[in-house]
Amino acid sequence: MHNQHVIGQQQELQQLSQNPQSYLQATNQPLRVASNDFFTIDPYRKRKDQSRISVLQKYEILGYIAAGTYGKVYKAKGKSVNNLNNLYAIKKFKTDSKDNEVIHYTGISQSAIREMSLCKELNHQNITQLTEIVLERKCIYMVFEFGEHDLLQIIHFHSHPDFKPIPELTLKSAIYQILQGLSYLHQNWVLHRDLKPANIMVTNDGVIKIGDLGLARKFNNPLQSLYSGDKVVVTIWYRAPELLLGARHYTPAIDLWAVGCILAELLSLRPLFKGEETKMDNKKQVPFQENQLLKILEILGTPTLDKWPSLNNYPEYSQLSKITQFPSNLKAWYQSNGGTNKNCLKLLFDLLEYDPAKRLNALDSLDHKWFTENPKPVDNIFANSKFKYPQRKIQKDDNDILGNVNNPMFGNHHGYNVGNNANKRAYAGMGVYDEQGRKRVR
Amino acid sequence: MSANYWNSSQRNQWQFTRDELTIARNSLNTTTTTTTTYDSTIKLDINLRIYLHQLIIKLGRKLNLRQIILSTSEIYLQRFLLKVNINEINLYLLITTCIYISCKIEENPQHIRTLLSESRNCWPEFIPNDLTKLAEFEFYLIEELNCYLIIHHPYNSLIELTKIFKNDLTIDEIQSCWSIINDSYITDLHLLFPPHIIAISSIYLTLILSNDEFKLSGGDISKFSNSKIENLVRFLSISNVDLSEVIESVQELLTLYESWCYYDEIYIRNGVHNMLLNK
Repeated sequence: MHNQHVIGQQQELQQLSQNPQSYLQATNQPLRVASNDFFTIDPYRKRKDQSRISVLQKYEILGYIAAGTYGKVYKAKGKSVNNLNNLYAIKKFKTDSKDNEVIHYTGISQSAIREMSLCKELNHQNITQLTEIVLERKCIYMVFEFGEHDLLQIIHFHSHPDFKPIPELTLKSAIYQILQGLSYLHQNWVLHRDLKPANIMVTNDGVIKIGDLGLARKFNNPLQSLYSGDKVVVTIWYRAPELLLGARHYTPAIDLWAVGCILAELLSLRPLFKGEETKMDNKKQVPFQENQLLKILEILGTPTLDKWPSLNNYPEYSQLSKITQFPSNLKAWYQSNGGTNKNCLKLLFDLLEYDPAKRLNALDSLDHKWFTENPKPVDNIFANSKFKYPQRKIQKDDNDILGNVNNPMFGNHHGYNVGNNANKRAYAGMGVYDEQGRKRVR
Repeated sequence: MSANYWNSSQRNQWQFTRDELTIARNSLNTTTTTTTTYDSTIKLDINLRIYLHQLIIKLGRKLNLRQIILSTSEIYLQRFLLKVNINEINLYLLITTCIYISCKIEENPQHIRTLLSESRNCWPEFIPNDLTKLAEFEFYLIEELNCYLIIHHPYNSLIELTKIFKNDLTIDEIQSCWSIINDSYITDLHLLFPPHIIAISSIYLTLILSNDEFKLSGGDISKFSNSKIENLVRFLSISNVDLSEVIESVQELLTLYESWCYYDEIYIRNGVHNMLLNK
């Protein structure tokens, strides 16, 4: 008897799966309704929710550091025995929700998935160390070791209110450690794709920590071109020329270009190529960034086919030829900014090499003459420095990391994509910056 | 690390011994809140695993997904079911969620609506028309996997190995290795051994199966050999690969194919549906 019933039911289901419409019409009655748990993940969910330890049980939130389209970063202190009084930066990802009253699950963004999965595998002293990830109440909290400083803050300190150059040892050690971290990423087939001073943290002990892997991705065996995944990568001022020329396939060399820009910025305390970004038009076509390219040409000179043989293969090559020709001025730029070291200038040339195939790679860069000559780079970039940098300021008006109070910063957007609005980062309490937000596009 | 299996979470967090797997699975029956008194006839045995494997392929074909995406989702499925009892959740929703996440990890993201609607086309009676249910499961699945999402597969090892054995392997045989690896996700092999062991096993098994004498020898792989297999074994001994692990994998794959002969899809499907209706 029992078996017959079961089989009957199964035939119904089978029939239904073949043609649900006709089935419903034929029987004119609803399917047997199972318990409420049928479509949900209960009772599993109840069990998990009961056993989860809240982020607030382990960490005391001291205030928030920064906010952006990705979410918000909080400063926190360990509360449990094994992390007592350690400092952390907790990144809370924005949850896309339909309305401001209730947060709904809408799918984790590609950017969050990348950052979570990569950070769980990465382990290097010059990459921001992930402590743990807490998934709680529809939100993702990534707990990182705390970086008291970052290069943007340090550059600001040295240029305001008066101009005081960064000591050579600090500068050299910082670049060396960035390249060490980058070399580790590239050897593990990870592109960072958003290197800039704001994303380079420095700990209290003067150790560089490359942070924000929200745009990073693996590049071994891609199923589709890197371009089709993300149309625009890297904050405009640090974007390599091949990207500006519309490259569909690009290489780790784009990260080395950004390091070149950072080196120049640490030397002159100003962004090297401070172009203006052409905004996307409504057609969702990626615009040609003429102004940014112009800024590069003004300093590095117009690239030639002779020096960059694949130049005419880039989609925007025709646009490039419309721009006035410039000679190379990098050496003059270097000298006018007080640079005297030949090998440092050489490294700048090697990193800002137009042809990505010829650009210095991260591993080789560690043996560069500038690093092998005295003074050699050191583990503590603040060693022998007379400068004392202020602590990272925090906003204490928002300690509510779980978001019990309704928070209007959460916008609405669905699906898998990374945030697609220009990301103006407000570095809370660090003065007003004209720093450009990075842009991500569907 | 993400490029190197030896430093990966796959090796350091998600590689087990057979005993560990048994203990983990046995403990599911006692610790989890199985609220229903319904005595399910369905167990996570090889038959159910073949069924789940085919569900993944079915949805994957609808979405036109690459094999590597499906393989990654099979690993998520296996790891999840090591920690959660099958009658605690909706298996069809689980499959859909595994694929949703693996598409993102393999950099071929599908919109959640696309995934949900294709999944509902496949199994309309078991997938809710509510994307928040899928997105909710994503959270719990990732939490259960402890956010370890990057997976190392045997396909790269196979490509490297076919360069070494290019004289011993025909195109058809390489294709066969590829298919054996695809099928290996039904078994526990990916929870037990490194990817290259599974790649080597697929070659070993292909060489055995392509030889008629093997069938006559009564299926004992230790007694069977020919020149191609000798080449392979010689290579293994030089390259420090654990031969006993290879033999064990080959044996497990053979067991899989034997079981497959007796696999009854309708019986399993009925069982799964009953379990769901009584959840």
